[in-house]
Amino acid sequence: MVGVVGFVLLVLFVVGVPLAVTAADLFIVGRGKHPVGYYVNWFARTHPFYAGVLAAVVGAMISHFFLHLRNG
Amino acid sequence: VAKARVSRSGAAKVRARVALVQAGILGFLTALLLGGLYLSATVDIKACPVETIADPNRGLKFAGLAVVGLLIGRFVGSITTRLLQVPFTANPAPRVKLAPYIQWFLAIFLSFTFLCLLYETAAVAGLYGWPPITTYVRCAVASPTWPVAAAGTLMIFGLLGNWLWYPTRATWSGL
Repeated sequence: MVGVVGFVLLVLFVVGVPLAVTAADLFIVGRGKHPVGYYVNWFARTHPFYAGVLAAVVGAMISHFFLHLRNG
Repeated sequence: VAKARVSRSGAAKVRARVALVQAGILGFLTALLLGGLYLSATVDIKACPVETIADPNRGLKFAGLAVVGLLIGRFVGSITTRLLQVPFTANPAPRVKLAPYIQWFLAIFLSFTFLCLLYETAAVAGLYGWPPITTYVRCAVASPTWPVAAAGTLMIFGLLGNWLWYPTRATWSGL
């Protein structure tokens, strides 16, 4: 059972967050600073364990969402 | 002096081009957001078509699309790095100071993510019969409007690849 509100919230989060970050990126690059990826990468280099966990979460997300569509 | 002026002018042009590409991505995401909201409000979602999906490999194709998106994001990142002549982070500083607005954004983003995980936990536990977030994603993939979900997947994972897999020449031993 799914609802309209859930779908609207999903779209707002999944698309809205990258939209906000891209807007921030545009603003930052426009001011002559490094893009967001530069800071995230810097953080990943100084916190490799955290970055590794984050990469694992992204991989698990792909697998969890898209594989086994029918058998849940 | 003249050379420096030409160099500054060239750098400004490159920055303008990068900003133009970012503005294009921003426009695409805005269209995706509005289109997604419209579809969410209008499409018949009472019956989730996952069980009757005609293409049994669609999930696998979407997973592949996500990986392709990550690779594209990495590729775009390497081009941007060269164009902007961003120095590689060979020796990162032990402490990274971020602007206050970025810190606030991160705090809000992580708080919202925590709430999402809380909801997912409650939904998976069967609380109040709430459907898990996964159900919505799978419905979107299996629905007749799957091309919108495909475009969203490619764009979102492309951005993730660009942000999280940013090119650098630093080695692990250099940390």
